[in-house]
Amino acid sequence: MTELENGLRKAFRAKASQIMPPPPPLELQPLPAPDPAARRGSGGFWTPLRQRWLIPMAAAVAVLAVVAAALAATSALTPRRKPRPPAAPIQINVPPYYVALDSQRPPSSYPEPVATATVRDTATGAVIARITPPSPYNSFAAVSGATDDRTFVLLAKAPPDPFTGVTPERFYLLRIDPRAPSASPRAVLTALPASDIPGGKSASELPLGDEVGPIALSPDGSMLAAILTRNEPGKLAGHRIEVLDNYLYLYDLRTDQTRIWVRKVCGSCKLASLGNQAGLGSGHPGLVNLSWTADGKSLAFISGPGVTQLRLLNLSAHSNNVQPASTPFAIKAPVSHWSQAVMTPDAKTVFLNFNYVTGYAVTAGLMRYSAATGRLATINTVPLILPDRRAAGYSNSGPLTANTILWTNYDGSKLIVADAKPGHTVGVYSGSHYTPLPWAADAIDAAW
Amino acid sequence: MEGDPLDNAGALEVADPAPTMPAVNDTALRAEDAAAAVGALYQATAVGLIRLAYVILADRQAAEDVVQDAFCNLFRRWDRLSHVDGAEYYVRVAVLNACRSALRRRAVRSRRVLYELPAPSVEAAVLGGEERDELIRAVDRLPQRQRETLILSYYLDLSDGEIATLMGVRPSSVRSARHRALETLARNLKERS
Repeated sequence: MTELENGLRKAFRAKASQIMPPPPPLELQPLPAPDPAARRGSGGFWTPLRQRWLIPMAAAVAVLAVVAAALAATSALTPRRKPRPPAAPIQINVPPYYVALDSQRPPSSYPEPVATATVRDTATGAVIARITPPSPYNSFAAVSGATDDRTFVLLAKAPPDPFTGVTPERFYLLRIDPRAPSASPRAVLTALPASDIPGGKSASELPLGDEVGPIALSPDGSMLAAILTRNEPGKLAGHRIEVLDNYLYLYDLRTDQTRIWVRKVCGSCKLASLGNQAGLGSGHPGLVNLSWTADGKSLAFISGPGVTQLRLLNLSAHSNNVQPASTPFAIKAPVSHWSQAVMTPDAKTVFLNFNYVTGYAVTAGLMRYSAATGRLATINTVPLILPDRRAAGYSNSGPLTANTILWTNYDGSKLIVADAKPGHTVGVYSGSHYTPLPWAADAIDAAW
Repeated sequence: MEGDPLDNAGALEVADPAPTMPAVNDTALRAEDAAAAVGALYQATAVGLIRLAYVILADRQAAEDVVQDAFCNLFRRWDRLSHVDGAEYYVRVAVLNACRSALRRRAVRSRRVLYELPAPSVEAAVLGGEERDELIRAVDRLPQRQRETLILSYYLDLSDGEIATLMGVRPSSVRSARHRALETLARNLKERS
């Protein structure tokens, strides 16, 4: 290999490294019905992605402009009214406070939106504290809470290094004291030393370039579980590809110790067996795809895509391979690919969130699975795309999509779900009864 | 599955979904399987393909659009795929073809240099990035086939046979194009220095 060839190799790689995962979301449209008369290139399917994205934005801007003009005209013509008294608190048995991640840009933008955090009152939506990421980090990417409703962990991210492409990430412990007088801090953010990624004491286990996915704080707030993703060279059908290899990272906040579980992916991958490509977990970092049992001794994770399973990992097992150390829930849902599966802390119930296609229609389903009886029950179905291809008006942008499960209590009798109703909404299911909660328009994730 | 008590429990009969759940017909299931397979392939390969397109096009948005379109086409034609092992090959060829089309459109719009890289930053200069950018610019001035051959050879490390299959030419043409490209590059860089 000559010096010129070496130079070319380095130059191409340096240039390519400016593109960092995750890739923008893949937007697949429902398959059109065969229509011999249809002319290729004339339909919306072939409309460039950016233009498709601009259409609803332009419509929203137009509507906002009309509303703003109407409001301005109304306020100029009518006397100012007294502010309405605050709404009466909602009496519902869920944690009184939560931490939300608030987007500072449209959630569908790429790269990921920059987000700050706010501590809010569940019943009224009132902001109790605002938290901005400490320098050099500019965004919070994930949040998870303990059952005491006072302890949370936030994942902070910095902009990717332009040359190495590495996105510095760090975990922060957040303790809130909502009843503190205004002079005292109501939210205290502390960096977790061993979880500096990269760097810190466990740097040897967390090499550069690993990206943090879903996170989950144990019920007592002592352990943090996270799915980390690593790009590795691999082969698929004889071609060299980059394989996203995931592993489970467990960090003990009390002892500063870490432990890693792996599932080697794509040893001899073939597309026909997509299950081999599956790592641990799936979905957006904020989605609750890791769920703890109440005793903190087991952890449920999604193993997929491909053969999607929810598996319960025994954390006291000696093996560091998740496959022998875990057992699957025998869920036989009518749709085999879920976007989310959340186990209740008593390990007796699993909530499933998935999309399914019927003709042109796309529907999001939310189901409850009982591990004791094996029964599946539908809680909610949300039309995303109607049979005539019109959008149904449910929020489906950003990390929170229809029926995203954000929290469940011990036995699953209370469930907080995002976008189960039209618009950008959050509410509580008590059985099949739904109670809406106040929700910020720019919230992209939340933890109770 | 061994050691899976929940999986072995024959008593765990699954009840029919509630009446509100519409039946999922075969077409829907096929579409869903295709979406899952294409989605999984996208997760596994999208970053690499976007990088490849970006090296060729030097335009991040165009690179992302090219890859999105390639996967949308793959999804649409999933049923017609003779064997799924070929999907990754299909989508890579689609990306290369789309990059060629994009470059042709760009060349028609502007009859001068195909594109200009952004001005190198201070940090890039400190780290020798300026030399790399100069090299990339020199590659960009090469004819299309020579440029593709270099990228597939030195970025993807593909063999001559693999490159020939992807580009639809003979391996000897690949060797010839690469040889000429390296000669031209060496000459141009020497003249500039």
